[in-house]
Amino acid sequence: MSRPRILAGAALCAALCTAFAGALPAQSSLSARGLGYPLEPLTARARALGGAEAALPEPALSLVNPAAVVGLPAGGFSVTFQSDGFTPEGDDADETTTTRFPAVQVAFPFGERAVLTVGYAAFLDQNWRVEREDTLDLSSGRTPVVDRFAASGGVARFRAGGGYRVLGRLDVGATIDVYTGALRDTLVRFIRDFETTRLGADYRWQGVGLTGGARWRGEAFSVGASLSAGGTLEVEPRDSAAGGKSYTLPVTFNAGASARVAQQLLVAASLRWQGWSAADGELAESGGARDALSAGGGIEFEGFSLLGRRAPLRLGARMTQLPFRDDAAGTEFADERALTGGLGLQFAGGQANLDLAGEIGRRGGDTAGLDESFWRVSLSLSLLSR
Amino acid sequence: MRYLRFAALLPLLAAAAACTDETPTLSGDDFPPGTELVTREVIVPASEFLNILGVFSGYTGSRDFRDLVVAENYDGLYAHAFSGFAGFPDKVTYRRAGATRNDSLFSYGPGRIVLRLDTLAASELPLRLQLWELGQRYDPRTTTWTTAIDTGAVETPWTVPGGTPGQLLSQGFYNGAVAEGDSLVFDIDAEAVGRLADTASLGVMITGLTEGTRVQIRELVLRTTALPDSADPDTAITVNASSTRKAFVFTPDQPSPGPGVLAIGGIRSARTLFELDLEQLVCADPLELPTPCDPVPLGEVRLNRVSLLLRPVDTPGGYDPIAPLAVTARAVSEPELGRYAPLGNFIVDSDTASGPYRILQPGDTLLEIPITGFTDATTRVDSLPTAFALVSEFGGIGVPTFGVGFFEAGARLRLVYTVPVRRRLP
Repeated sequence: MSRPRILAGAALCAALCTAFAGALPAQSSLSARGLGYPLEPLTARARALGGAEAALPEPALSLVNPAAVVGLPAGGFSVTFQSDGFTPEGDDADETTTTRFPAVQVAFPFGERAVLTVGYAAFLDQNWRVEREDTLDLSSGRTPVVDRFAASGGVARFRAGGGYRVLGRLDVGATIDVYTGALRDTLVRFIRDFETTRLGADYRWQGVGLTGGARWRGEAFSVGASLSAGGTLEVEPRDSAAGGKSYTLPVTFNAGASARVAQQLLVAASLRWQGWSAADGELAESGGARDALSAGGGIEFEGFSLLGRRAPLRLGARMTQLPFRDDAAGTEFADERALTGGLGLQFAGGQANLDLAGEIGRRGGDTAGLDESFWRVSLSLSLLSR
Repeated sequence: MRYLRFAALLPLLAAAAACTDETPTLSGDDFPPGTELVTREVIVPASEFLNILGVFSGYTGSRDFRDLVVAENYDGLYAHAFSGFAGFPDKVTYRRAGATRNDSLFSYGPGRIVLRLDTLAASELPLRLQLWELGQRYDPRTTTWTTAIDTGAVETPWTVPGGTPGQLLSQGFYNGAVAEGDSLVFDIDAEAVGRLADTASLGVMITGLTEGTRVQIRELVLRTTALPDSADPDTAITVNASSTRKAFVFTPDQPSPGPGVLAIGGIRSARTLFELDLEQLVCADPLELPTPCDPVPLGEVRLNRVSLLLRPVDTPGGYDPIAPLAVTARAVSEPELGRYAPLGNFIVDSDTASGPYRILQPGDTLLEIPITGFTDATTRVDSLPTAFALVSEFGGIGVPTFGVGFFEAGARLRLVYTVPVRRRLP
């Protein structure tokens, strides 16, 4: 594929993702906590490996470590789709499923040392709603009422930057991160036989941050790390009826390592720390925030083939602390734990890769204000223009 | 080119992603801070919100009414109905010995005039009506209690006010028994049928005999038989003659409401004009009502119901609505024209059962006319008219009523509204 063609494809993909970014679906009731449910811009391969993306050995499109793209032999793009489902514990347990685009990225190599990248990924999911039935005592009698509040929207992160090979085995990268998003609050009161009350408020999110990363690739061992930091995430109403608010963006540190322990067996692990406690004071009224740690790892076996093609098998596990707490008294922060696995398929000598990942886990607990099982399926398609 | 095939998957995946969204719905009290909705109800004297611009009537008369009315001293009201009959044959056709025959020479047998009654108010049963031959020609479009014909150029009074009677043809009874349905029958002899079939016939008059009755007649038909001269004596051809030149006259005229009374509907289509005064303040405190409350303009709250509450009062002169009275409200853009102000769009909140009408059933003690949409629009758009008329129109839903609805002028306005809120950001 020529470079113009792949640019056209990337533009289409970016347009699609932009169109859908305002309607990111929800992730459990956690979307109602704090600033929403934090979303990780992981590829399906990394998902299958327990979230370990910071230090995979070969060059790859990554929105976790900007140094990971160094060494791409040709321009390429990657898009990841994700579908989730969760089932709350309890008598009224109903499964809810959602689908989203967590990430899309395009890369353009310049020479053998430099690669420019542009990416767009969901950052916070704020889709949720709550419903309540009640009655009103009116002069015409007791009248049933249903109130419904719905929040719809989220924050996404547009990331542009590049990577550079500073030494034979050491790559570095840096990006500028632009946070953008929209949120619409809808509050409806249905009163039987009366006119319905509909109230709405629209908000706009914006912020700027920076990310830097590095990766060292050995013969059989790689390590990598990235650090993101920013100023504030601003939310402003689109009307003048209320004021806006600012939240401190967290410092995020990703570190990982991978080792080829056998010719066809890769082991990878990663750690992520997000300093959300910087926003604890700003979120005090809605439950507060904490620093959140996430750790995971997995193995990749490359000795498997499917339909005559290389089909790496992956297994992993991860644990993630969720940063926002429910505002109900006595509620603790929630954690997520999941077993992960997946399969890759390579086409055209590795120019096209299709990766599938699945997760099964639980989140919450007795004191977390929620207790639910969940599953997640991710699908990534990456193409190189060589 | 191979990977272009993979790229073709993108739109499909995008479509799939867009179609399966579900938003998690929590239940219970997990509403975010600041989103507690408060709905208030206040009932205020209409004098605080409404100016009564006037009560007008005289827009319609008996010629606009679908039914005929007969009354006999019903609280002082008298009404007589007139009708002719059409559809009598010039010749009759019958079969004899397998052959079809026509005969223009025939006579009529005895007949029956069948009345389909609609609504009835009677101080006693059975209801007794009388059927007279009319003794004087009348114009169904212009006749009144005192005038038989008034074409402008020619005005001919009745010799006997209320309709000059000729020969009494029959008396009919209706006792309300189920077996009789809603029909009242006058039996008339063959000679009378022959006279009514004559094109020179002046028609018939129906009057009441039972004091304290008022009845509406939906239809009437004359049923008889024709006996061809050339046929066997037992050959009888059924003839149905339909009513024509229907009219009714009444006295006294529909009463005008006294001071402090509103009028809607009736044979004269009374209407009451109002003007909404929307420069009002309502309490907007989001929590329990403090004293004093924090007032805001009406346009700053969300209206769930705005309605006029009307209390019926007795209608004098025998004009009480004995049938359901369909009331509606229509915008008036030129209220300064008073009784000549043209009526605009319906402004009553539409209801699936009765559309823009609200029905006052006999015996009801309250009529609620919801005008929420109209009020909401006029609070937000200054250029919209704020005047409206309460009317009960012929041709509208339900049975048009001869009677007129009288209501206390001290109507009340019911306001149910919700105070806007916005969640506090996390």
